[in-house]
Amino acid sequence: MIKDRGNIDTSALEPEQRSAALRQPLPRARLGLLAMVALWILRIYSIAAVGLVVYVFVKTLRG
Amino acid sequence: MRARQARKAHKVARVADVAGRSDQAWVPSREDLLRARDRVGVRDARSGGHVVRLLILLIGPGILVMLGENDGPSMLSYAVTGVSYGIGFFVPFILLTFVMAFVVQEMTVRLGAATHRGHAELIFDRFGPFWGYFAMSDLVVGNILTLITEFIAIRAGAAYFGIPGWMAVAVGVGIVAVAMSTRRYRTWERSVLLLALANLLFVPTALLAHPDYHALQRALITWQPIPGGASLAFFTLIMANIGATVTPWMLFFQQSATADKGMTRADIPQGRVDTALGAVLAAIAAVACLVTCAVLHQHGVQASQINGGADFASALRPFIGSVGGSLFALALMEAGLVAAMTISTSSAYAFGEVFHRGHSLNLDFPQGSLFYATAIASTILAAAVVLLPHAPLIAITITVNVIATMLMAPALLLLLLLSNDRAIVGSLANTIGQNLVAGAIVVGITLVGALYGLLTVFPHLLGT
Repeated sequence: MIKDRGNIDTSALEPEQRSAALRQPLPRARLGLLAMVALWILRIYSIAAVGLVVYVFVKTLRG
Repeated sequence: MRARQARKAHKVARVADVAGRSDQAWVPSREDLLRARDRVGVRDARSGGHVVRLLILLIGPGILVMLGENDGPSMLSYAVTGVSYGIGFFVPFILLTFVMAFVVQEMTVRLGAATHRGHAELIFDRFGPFWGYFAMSDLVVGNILTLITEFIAIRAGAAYFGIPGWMAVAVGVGIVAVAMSTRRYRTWERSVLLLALANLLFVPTALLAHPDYHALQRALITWQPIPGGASLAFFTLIMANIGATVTPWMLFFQQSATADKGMTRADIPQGRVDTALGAVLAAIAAVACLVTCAVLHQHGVQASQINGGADFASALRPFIGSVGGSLFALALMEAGLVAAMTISTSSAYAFGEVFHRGHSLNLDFPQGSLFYATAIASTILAAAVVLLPHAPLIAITITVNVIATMLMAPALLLLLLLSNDRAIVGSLANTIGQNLVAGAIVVGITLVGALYGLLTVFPHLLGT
């Protein structure tokens, strides 16, 4: 329950800030070829790298 | 050329149309009313020319994200660095990582203020669920692992005072829950801010360590002494120190908090000051922690002899006194607690955004059920793991920071793509200079990670 609910000046919010407006999803963007290639490279890199870190962690614990 | 411009203008118009579609019949929700109340204060301060008041009203997400990232594993990484290498190369290196953190986080301020949407939501909406779920899986893995280490820090700090682990962890979970139960963004933000300032308790511990100011000055000017040999241990600490300042959850948290606070394009200058102030405060605390623990390096203590935060405080006691040891343990608990509050909130924002459910600290429990449940459930899960006996605490904390660094490169690329997306940020898109700096950070982080990988597979690659 909000006190003085009726006295709050809602015009202080920009129309795009209203929760109802924010429920509308934004349209999809098209990713360029370069962006796609870079995203894939970094994705494969991060999966491999995290695997390596976990391997080192386990090896250290056993070592 | 003209056709391309027309396509671009059409795209921008479509985004604007989507944002303003619900303008006709608007019934303000609780979230809208509370945010509007905060915005009235900002509007009045701005129109009245009250510069300081305006800044006080608008600071928050930047300081919180920077001091939140000075968390348990980060402070333990700085501590291990201090014990291992003393004052030298790593002091200016840490300062550089905070410059990097500012460059990265400033982009999230622009994105949050321009779109009023969180980071996860933008990735899903603009790039689709395929990349969205990848980003979310990085966030979830990183956040759960990091949350576990926050409770390790809380437990370790409490152990110094003889407080049982289960009690420390339970109080930690309780504080996270109580702060969230205010159901008011502003109250939550101000309470966590107040708590976060206790991160500066590392400053008196550094002063009590009577550091060699000449060595500190020399390190800042010359980046020396450089640790001998590019070993795996050295690169692990490089990675851990990078992971101590920039991690995926920070991107998600600051952008969502900027939107939740109701910041607009007009507030971006204050958002930048907030982020810069946070970076400066966090850098001071980080260097202070390293300098404190450098006293152990001076006295020949090995990092391998220490197995946790409480051990650090106990090891420091002969050199910085019982007051210093207590302050160090308290600061460690605070670091874990503040990070637990901010990281669990970043998970909550992301889940709410992805599943199109309420995601604001201004929501009531029924409207924000998924939001609050995510924060509390992730906190309880992490707390439960910490209570498992015989966990290798230091190894876990350093490893978590290294994983955070590994996950950062793809997260940064997505941030870079969004920050250049003129259809959603318009004139606030990155400049060429900003892209060059951010691109260099992505390449730098990737290369350091790759070198770490190579050294792991071929330990004698660099002749050490």
